[in-house]
Amino acid sequence: MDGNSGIFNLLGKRMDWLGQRQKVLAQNIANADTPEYVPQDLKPQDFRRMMERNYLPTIKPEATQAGHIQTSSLKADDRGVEQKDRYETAPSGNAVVLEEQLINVAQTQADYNAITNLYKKQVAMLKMALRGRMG
Amino acid sequence: MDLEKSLNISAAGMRAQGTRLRVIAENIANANSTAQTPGGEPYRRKLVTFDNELDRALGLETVRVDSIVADRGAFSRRYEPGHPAADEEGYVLTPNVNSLMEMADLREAQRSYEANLKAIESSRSMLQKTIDILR
Repeated sequence: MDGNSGIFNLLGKRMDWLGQRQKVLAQNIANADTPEYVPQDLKPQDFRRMMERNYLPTIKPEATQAGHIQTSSLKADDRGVEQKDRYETAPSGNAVVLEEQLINVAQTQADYNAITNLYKKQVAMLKMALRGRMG
Repeated sequence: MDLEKSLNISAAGMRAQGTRLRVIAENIANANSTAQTPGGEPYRRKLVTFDNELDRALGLETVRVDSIVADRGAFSRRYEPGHPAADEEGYVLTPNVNSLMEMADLREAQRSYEANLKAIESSRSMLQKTIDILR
């Protein structure tokens, strides 16, 4: 059962990341005509680090007083960083290229579809095991 | 949730582009509006500027129309002695609206609007996929 919850955890994290990326991309597209706006993107998710977080025992500082800062595992890399290699910059200082952003949106959407399908398959497998027959 | 936030961002982008379209329509409609008296000013072209704004309630950067300003470009003149606004030499000042430029601007606004629409469609489909997991 432990392996199953691990996979759901991973898929959930991936969905979270993709949702955040979609947010950042929507922001870029909305600001496609704003002067001095530089498009942002998320740091790619590191599969190895995700696995380590899931499967290796981690040491977490205990919060014993109200003033202690709690560390959350996901919030570390959810902020958008400015895109490094820019395609082109308009004279107004805007560096959003709509085509590029739309490709990223399409890619994010396709990844999301894949992940939700995987999630569904996993649930279907569990259900199949419970029922003991197909369908 | 991030996907819902991205819907908000895209909606703000569409609203800004809508305002821009309105101003362009105003310019085109008034392309021939001259003054009524000699020495009066004809219609002055308007411009829209965009700015990204931090929406504190949502915690994200959306876009808004910063201000609608007048174009400081020079008016053109036309020889028409019988016109009520003609000066002593018979010239009438005509608006500084260039319909070619307005059309180019219109196309750009349309393109940005469509891009925002695509982003909304994509986010919506991702949300739908998430809900479909429950089925």
